Amino acid sequence: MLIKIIIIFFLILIVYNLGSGLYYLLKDEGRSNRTVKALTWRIVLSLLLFVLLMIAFAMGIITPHPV
Amino acid sequence: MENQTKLVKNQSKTGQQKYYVPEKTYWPILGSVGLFLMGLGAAHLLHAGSFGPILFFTGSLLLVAMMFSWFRQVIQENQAGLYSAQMDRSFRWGMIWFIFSEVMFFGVFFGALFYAHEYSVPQLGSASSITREILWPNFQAQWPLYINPDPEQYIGPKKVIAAWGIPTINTLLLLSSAVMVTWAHWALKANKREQLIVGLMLTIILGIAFLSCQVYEYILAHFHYGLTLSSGIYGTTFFMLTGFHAAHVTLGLIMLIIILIRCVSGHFTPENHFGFEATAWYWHFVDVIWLFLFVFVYWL
Repeated sequence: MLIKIIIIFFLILIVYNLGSGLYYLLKDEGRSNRTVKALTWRIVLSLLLFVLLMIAFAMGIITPHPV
Repeated sequence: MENQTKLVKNQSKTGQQKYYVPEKTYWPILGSVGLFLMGLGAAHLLHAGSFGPILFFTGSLLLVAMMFSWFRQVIQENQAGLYSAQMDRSFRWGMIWFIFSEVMFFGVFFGALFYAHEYSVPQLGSASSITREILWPNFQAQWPLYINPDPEQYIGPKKVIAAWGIPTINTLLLLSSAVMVTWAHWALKANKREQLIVGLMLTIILGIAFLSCQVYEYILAHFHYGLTLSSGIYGTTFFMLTGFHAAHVTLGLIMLIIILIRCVSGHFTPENHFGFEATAWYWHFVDVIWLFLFVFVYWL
């Protein structure tokens, strides 16, 4: 259950950063670094989520649905 | 050759900007005819009409030709310095509206997946379901749904795609691709043209690798696992979500290739690069949707 909350939390953070990237794209009109910074955070968090999923899978905390 | 687009160029003596209004063109009507033929063709296709594919294909070609020509004209107008700061804002707002519709679009399909997975299937399988009692007393709820309520009419899949395998590789490919586009983005901001071009090239190569893996996965699913659009609700939601995602990846790749060509041609400056920004953001967007797919379609 905790792992599900952590995964959802990461996904929310990722969407938030993607959204703020879009917001700065609109507002700053290319004149600041806020868009690229938000998008950088987005990818960093996504990589962390992927690592988290792999660790959780390796430890047997989460299992994908059966095939 | 560096082409500078001067946004403040179109200012009159009173300081007001000139908002460029183009000459009449036939791009809009061409697009309408193309879309009409696509719609007509799709309807014929669904009703097993022989004209369907030809009409649909012709319509798509017309639409693609229109988009290519119209956007090329926009790029030429931009490079000729005809666009004001207000025009730049118009493009950004246009993008917001487009993205809003895209978010709603994927929201619908994820919503359908959520509804089927969390509500419809468990509800139908529950002891209190009168529907099940009367119509399908042997129905067992599970996800993925291998045995449909009416398994003779709708043959379920033999197997589904495992999360640990191609989908994991695909996640790595798209994540690396997004890292590359971010690297390219920083390069553009720092006025490092070579790094920008190399970054974009790697972004595109990794994106093409992703699509290739998806094609392979689809062949596996469709021809070997019996997992198709009509193999039940699992197959339907699987292909609608991953299929439309792949279509968006394709669109993103086309955009990235155009932007790469423009970068090689010397377009964009560290202060003025909406085309790049929009495309880079769109690529991140496509990656985020994939993360949701990875978690909610392949894992759960």
